[in-house]
Amino acid sequence: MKLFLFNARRYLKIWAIHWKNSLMERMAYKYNFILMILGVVIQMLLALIFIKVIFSYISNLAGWSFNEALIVTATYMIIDGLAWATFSYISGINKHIRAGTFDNILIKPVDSQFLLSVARVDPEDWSRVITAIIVFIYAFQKLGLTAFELIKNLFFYIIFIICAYFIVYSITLLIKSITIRVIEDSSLWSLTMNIIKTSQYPTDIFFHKAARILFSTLIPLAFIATVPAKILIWGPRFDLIFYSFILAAIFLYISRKFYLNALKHYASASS
Amino acid sequence: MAYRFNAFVFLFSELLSLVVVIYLWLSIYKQGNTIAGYSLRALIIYYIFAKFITLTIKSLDQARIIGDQIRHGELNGNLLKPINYLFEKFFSSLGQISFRIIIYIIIALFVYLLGFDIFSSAPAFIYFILSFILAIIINFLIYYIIGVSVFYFGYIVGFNFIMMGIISFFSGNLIPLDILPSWLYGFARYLPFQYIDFIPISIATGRLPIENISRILFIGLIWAVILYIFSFFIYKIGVKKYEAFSV
Repeated sequence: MKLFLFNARRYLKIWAIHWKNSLMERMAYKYNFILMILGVVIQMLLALIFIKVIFSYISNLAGWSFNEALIVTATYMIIDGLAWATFSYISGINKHIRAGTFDNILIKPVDSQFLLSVARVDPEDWSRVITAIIVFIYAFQKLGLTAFELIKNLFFYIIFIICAYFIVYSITLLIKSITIRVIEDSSLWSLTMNIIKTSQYPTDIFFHKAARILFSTLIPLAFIATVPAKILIWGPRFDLIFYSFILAAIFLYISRKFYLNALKHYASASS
Repeated sequence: MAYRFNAFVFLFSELLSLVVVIYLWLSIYKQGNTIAGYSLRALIIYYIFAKFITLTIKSLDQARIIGDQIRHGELNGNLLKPINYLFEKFFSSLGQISFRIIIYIIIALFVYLLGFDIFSSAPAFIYFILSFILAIIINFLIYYIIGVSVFYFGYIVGFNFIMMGIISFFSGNLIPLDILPSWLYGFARYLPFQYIDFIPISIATGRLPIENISRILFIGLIWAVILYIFSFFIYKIGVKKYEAFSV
């Protein structure tokens, strides 16, 4: 237990150092940093205008009202923002592998997957999380829940958000591990983004059975935003809580194994 | 072909995003409405065109490449050559675009075989080609301006990021502009971005009356000239501020 606490503290410290470095790197160009924050907020506002425009023509989207759909989108934005701000979709991997600096990561007495994940974080994306929370509160207070329902549902919602965060991390790691073998990763980057982006809409839009199986089970996108939103709006369902935990655990395990396996095929590019 | 895997995954990824958009609109149209005069079929064709334009001309990341080149001092070599920097960049991107057009026309043919009449008429096809050339020029000039603004800002990642979001929305890539509320559509019509997606697609699908197209394309041409003049001066003034720090 002591060893675990010691390691946990050490890893947290490393994470904090990387976070501080990323912030300092960003602040070296402070106007650029401000523009990045502005860009994040503008992008989110345009996405919200898109939803608003759609709902000016329809009353519900696959059974979701405007405010309910807004909860789904806000949930996606929270997860997306957290992913950018805490592990940046492991976007540093390609640079390390191409430049040969991945070797430096491998020889350090810290887990390489952890170092790779925290090597780059995007501090400006906390603005994404904050904007998403504002949108979330706006939609949430229009749901008309009682104080008890509100606290209860919110509690379970946070549990789902944590599971969703790990599912997104695992999907990213699974795809990014392929980079170790193929080196060039611009397409894998686009694939990761397009897969995760799919969760910004309620997965009920996939009305064909095959599509639903693909986006709910094989790639558990439903558990990123749709299921947490359902829990928040309609209350907890213990079967979904169970599935969410299981999926997060399975995906974490598989992605870890996949990463370790990919490492065996790593051919250093450095001299 | 050195990166076959990369090309295949990229195509798969873009097709996936197209499928998601189609599912979204299928769900919307399940309620039986028509949206701003668009049938479901018309909207699907719109997004196929938008994807074609994204894949061929919008995904080149020209601003970042130009910005990095100037920031890292790699412009020095270009300054010594008797070559216009803007034209060098334009024709270099045109080479990539030509290759992509060949690849994605094969996909367009597949869509055609599925039973989608892509073009509304023969004149629409000819006007589309003209508007597509204009889209290539306007898109390039906008991102060129963003790229060379590195002379003034020092680092343009943030500026480029903002502009990518704005351009994606106001070009009509995310949603057809005439679906937007009238005040927003009215605003978008005063911007050059509509010539990248909305105008070429509207021409191809017959949303714009044939008799108006010449006038619309002429306005687009004026936009291209304005952007060219602006890019000329922004580079000329910027290069005087340029401090080449590489070896």
